[in-house]
Amino acid sequence: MYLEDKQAGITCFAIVGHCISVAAGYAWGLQISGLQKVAGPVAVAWLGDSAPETGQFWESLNLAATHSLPLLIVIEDNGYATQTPLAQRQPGAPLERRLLHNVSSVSVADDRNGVENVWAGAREARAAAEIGPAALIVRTYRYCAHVGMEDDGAWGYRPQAEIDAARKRDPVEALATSVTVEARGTIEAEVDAEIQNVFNWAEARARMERVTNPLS
Amino acid sequence: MIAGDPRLLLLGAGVADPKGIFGTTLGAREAAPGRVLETPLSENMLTGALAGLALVGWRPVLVHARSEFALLGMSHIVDTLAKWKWLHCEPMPVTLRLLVGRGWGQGPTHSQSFHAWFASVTGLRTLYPSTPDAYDEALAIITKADAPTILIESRRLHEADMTRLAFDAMGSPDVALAPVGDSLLDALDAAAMLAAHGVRASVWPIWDLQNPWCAFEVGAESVTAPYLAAGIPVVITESVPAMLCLTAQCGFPPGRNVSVMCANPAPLGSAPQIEARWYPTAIQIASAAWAMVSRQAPPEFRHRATEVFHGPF
Repeated sequence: MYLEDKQAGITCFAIVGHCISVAAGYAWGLQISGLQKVAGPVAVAWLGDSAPETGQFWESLNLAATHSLPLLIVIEDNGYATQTPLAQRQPGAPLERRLLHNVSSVSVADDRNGVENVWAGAREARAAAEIGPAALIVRTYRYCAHVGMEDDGAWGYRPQAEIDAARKRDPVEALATSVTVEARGTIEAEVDAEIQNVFNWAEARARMERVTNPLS
Repeated sequence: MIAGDPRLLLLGAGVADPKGIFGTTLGAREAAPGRVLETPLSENMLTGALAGLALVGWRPVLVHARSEFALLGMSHIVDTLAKWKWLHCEPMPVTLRLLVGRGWGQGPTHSQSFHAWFASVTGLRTLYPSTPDAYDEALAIITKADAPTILIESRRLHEADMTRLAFDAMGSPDVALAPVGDSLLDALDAAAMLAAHGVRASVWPIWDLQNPWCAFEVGAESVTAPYLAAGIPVVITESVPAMLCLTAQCGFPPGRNVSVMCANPAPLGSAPQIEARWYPTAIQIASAAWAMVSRQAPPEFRHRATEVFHGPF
C-alpha cells in the first residue's frame, strides 16, 4: 500500500481515487512553475478500473482539461473491483468513449497483456500528456484474489475457465518466447540475483535494528 | 503576506473574483496575480491537489467561503494531508482556510465550525484566531509550518469593532472567560456587564485548538493563561454545539471550576428569531460567570444584542 521511491518520483495511496487528485495538483504545480514543455515532466496517476467511479476522477480531469495540464492517467482494467465485476459498476459504453470530453488523447492496450502493445501505447500517451491530459487504458487480468496470493477460483464470482484462459496468455511467458533459451536464462539469473540482494539487505537491516533498538 | 513569500499560492472558488472572499483576497491578487488561482467547484479534488502542489514546492492555501465545503475533501484532509509527514517523511506545508457563517440567514449548513472535529485528527494543526494578534500569530505559523494547518475564521468578526479589545488587562481577575471564535464578541459584552456589577472578568480567547490554554489575554501581551494554575474559575464559550470534544481534550482535572456555554445542540434555523435563541448570549455567559463567583442570585443583566454582520452572505 505504501510503496515509495522518492528518487524515481513514485509514491502510493491506500484509498481509491486519491492519487489522481494529487497528480492533478502536481501537474498544475508543474504548469504554474513554468516547467510544462514538450519532452518535459508529466504527472502520472496509476489507477484501477474502479477509480472512474469516484467523483474526484472526473473533477481532476475537469481541472486538467480546463488548464491543459501535463497529466497522464493510466487505468489498469482487470475487470473486477475486489470481487465485483465491471458490468455491475459502470455503464455499457466503454471508458475510452466516456473519457473523450476530458482528455485530448486516449490510448488503449486492449489485447489483454500484450507487453509490446502496452509499451507502444505508453509512449504515445506520455508524449500526448506533455501538452494536455491524456489517458492510457490497459485491459489486463488478475490471476489471484484481490488481496494476497490466494487462488479464488472457487469463490464463485468469476468462472475458473476465465482464469485458466488468461493464464494461458500470460504476458511474461509470451515475451519469453521472443528471446532465445540462453537469453531467457541470463535474464532470469539477473532477476533472481536482484531479488536475493533485496532479501539480504532487508535481513541485514533487521539484524542492525535488533542491535540498536533496546526495546527489542 | 503573499508578496513576502514566493512559494505561497492562494486558491479556491471566488479568490480571484471581484469580491475576493469578502475582500480578503483582493490585496493578494493585486500583489501576486499569478499566484491567486480561481478553481472549479471540486472541493474533494482540490484538497488532494494541495498535496501535489506542495510536492512541486508550493505552499498552497485553499480557501472555502464556508467551512462546510471542506467536508467534501475530508478523506484527503485526514488520510492524505494530515498523514503525509509521517508516512512519507517529508513536509506537507498546506493550509485550508475555512470561514464560518453567522447571521443574515446562514441556516443549518452554512454556520458550522468543526474545530473540535479537526482538532481530534492526528497530524493537523487547528487554529481559530479571533483577535488581530492571534491572527498575526496564526499567519506566522502557516508560513513556517511543515504539516497541514486548518485556519478557521468567523465571518461575523470581519465587521466587528476590534477597538473594543483595547481595554486594560487584569492581573488577577475573579473569573476568566475563554471564548472560541466569534463568541469573543459575546464574552466581551459579558465582561462589561460583570464589571458593572463589581465582578472582574478577563477574556482569554482560545485560538490554538491543540494548545487551548496558551492564549493572548485581551489587552495584554502575555501568551500564557495563568488562571489555569491560579484556580480562577473559567467559562468557556463558543458559538457551536461542539464543546464537549474540546473540554475533554483540554484535560481539566476533575472538580475544577469550569463552566461551558455552547450553542443549542440542534441544527440552526435560518430565521433571525431562531438564531437569537440558538447561540449563547452575553447575558447567559455573564450569568454563568456570576454563578461561579457568587452565591447570591445574579443581578438583572441588561444587554441589547447588536448584530454586527449585515450580509450579504
